[in-house]
Amino acid sequence: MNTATPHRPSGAPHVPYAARVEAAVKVHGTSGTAVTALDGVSVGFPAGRFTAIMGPSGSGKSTLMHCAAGLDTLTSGSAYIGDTDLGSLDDRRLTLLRRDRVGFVFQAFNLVPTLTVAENITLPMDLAGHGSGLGRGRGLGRGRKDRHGRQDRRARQEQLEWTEALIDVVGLQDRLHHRPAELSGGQQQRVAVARAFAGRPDVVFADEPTGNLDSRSGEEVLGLLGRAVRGMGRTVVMATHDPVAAAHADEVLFLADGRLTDRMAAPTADKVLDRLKAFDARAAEGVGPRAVSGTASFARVAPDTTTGTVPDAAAGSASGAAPARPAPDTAPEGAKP
Amino acid sequence: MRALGASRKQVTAATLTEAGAVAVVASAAGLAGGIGVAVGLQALFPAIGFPFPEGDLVVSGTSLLLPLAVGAGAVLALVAFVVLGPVASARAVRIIGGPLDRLRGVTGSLARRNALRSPKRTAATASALMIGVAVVSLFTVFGASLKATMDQTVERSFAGDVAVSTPSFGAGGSGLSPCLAPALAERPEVATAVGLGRGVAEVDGEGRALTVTDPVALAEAFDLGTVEGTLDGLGDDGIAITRGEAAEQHLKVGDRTELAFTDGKKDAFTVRALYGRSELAGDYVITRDAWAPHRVQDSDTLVSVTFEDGVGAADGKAAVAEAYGDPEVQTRDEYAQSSAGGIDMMLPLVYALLALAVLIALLGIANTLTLAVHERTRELGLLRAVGQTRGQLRAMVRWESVLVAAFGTAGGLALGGFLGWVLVKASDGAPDTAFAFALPPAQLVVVTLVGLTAGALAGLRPARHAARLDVLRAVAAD
Ligand SMILES: Nc1ncnc2c1ncn2[C@@H]1O[C@H](COP(=O)(O)OP(=O)(O)O)[C@@H](O)[C@H]1O
Ligand SMILES: [Mg+2]
Repeated sequence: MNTATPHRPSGAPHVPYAARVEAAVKVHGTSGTAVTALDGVSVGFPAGRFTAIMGPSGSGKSTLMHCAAGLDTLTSGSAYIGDTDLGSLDDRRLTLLRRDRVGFVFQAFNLVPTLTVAENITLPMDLAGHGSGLGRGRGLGRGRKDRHGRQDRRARQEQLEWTEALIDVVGLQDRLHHRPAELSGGQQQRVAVARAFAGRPDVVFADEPTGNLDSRSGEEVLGLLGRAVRGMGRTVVMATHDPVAAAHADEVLFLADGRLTDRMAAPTADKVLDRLKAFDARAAEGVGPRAVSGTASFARVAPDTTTGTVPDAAAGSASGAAPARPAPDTAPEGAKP
Repeated sequence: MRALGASRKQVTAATLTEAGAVAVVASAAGLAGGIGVAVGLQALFPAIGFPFPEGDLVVSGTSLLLPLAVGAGAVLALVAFVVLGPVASARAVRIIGGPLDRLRGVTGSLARRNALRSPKRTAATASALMIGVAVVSLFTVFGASLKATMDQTVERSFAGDVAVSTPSFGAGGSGLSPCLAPALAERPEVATAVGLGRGVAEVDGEGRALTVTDPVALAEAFDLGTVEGTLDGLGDDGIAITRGEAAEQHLKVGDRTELAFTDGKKDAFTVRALYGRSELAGDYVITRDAWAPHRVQDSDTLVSVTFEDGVGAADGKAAVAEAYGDPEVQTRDEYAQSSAGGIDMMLPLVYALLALAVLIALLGIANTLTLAVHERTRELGLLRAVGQTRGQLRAMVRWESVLVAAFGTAGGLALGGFLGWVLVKASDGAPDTAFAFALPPAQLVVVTLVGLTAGALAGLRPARHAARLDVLRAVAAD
């Protein structure tokens, strides 16, 4: 397996990884209908960096993110958040780890419909019993554990400032007391991003966060993720099959048929697109290892059937020719350090 | 979606069926209970020396009409509750759930908001419990009022140390010999002994119960309040009346009024005394001499006995028992107890009813919650994904269940309490009764706790079901 992996986390202890997996294998289903979604993946996501995972539909992006985030368990291999081996945690500890140390942005349905924007954002902290103060005005976060000493009060003040800064950045000040149903899809995803970062987690995973958005809203969400990394020092791992989205990242990892096939630092949409085309060409010549079917569809970037996405003409087209989208090579530049 | 629609319809149908079943069972039990109460009244009132008109028709008339009127009122109130249910449920859940926010933090908040999601569904789900609790609290309230009324009556007027009453509660039939009271009075242990008989006559065209006794002994044994005029010279043409009844008949001391007896004879009586308290003495008192020409059978229903100072209850009781072959001799407490005994006998029935209603309501709430959990699968997955523990999730579902049950219980208590009050007030208007309204706190607390416990139990299965959800599958569900 190691030969197929671009870098090996355990061999580079000096790089602080916010999250990593080692020899990760995930088989979905039982023997008869078993699907190997991850086929021996070893990868680390460096702290303070924005990593994108690219690959066609069914290549295992979501599976990798879920297993790395403690939402799902590996069939074999190990997953770490910081130094914590997820395999050693029971359901409860895993839940607490997700609550306190991991943020997640799904493609859609990220928000609890009965909670306001503010309450959704502070939900993980309120579940922990120490609200930032935002949800507290409406009954959330007034948990029994909400009895703070002097030190805690200071931590709470910090948390409050952080949440407020986050809301500023996300630009939802005037929507804080609205329900998710009253927001557009783009606004909802921005709330989800704010929620993911609110607890200052070690790492935020975003699985096709722009998959359901028009290009402008998508661009806003991607911009937010970029700013969280570059301006606030957070760590982001994002799965996408859109080269334009991937170009917002510091590094792009390529996944095909459950294996890491390539990586690219300082990506631009054009460079990513070229790489994908090269894959396709190799696949057409039959050079691709066992990823023929996976790479064959790469240039088209088929709709992501596993997440039930309706193909979006602009976001789904890897050609970058969608009119509303900014020129691929200029879009991510402003976000780079 | 179609599957969901169908199951929602099913649940609504199931809930309605359950509510209907409870209503039918409750009505049947209510009817039986009503008749029981009526029979009990008939048996109990004479037993405590409450002169009841012998014309059975009059009694049955009121005792059948009363529950009917109350029943109609109950149906109206129920309809109003069903119609107003959704509005009421939203308000009630918001209020009842208020403290949950503070006590249970996000878990409580989420539970409350989930219960508020569909007020219509919450109301429908709670209705079975509400009806059950309403019927049960109606019974307990009415029972308690009845008991309070009797206790009050006994407390106020039972001046004796022991009472001798007929062994069986039969109407008319075997009474106590009129000679018993004088005979008992002869005994050295006995200070006073007064026998009370009952009769009936028409005063001003309306049937009235008469107490046939020795008025002087009566005044010694019972507290009659302030007496105007004199009780020792009633003779065979004198009558004593309560002040209230006299005011109604526009009579005062010295006036004459005509009594029509059941044997068809009419006699003019002179009002010689007015007294204040009617509980055991009744509204009209005449002497044995006055009653003698019209009597069917000369008998007392009750002999009240007081002992001389220094005579213990046990000794006195033994002395009385010795004087009279096979008496039912009771001390004041035993007497009060036996008067109210019929009501306590009703309690098992009431609690059985509660158990049935709760069982049905429990199933309804569990069904609705299971459906709700199913509908919210994705949202529950999201909550788990962002850090809600299984325990918190279970608690959230359970608290929602408790909230729904709390709404049902509160509504039922309010409805039952109100109907009980109406029933008591209606009974109060009937002749010969002075009804007291009483809320039985212990029983109502039991009913409340049972309702809330039912909610907690109903939530167990859906909560376990929800907590077993596979987080990822739930998030990915469509
Ligand atoms: N819960 C599941 N059960 C069975 N197969 C699954 C499940 N989830 C994903 N898969 C399969 O695993 C492979 C990888 O899926 P996924 O990780 O969703 O890929 P991507 O996110 O890149 O589209 C696909 O072949 C998919 O069909
Ligand atoms: Mg996916």
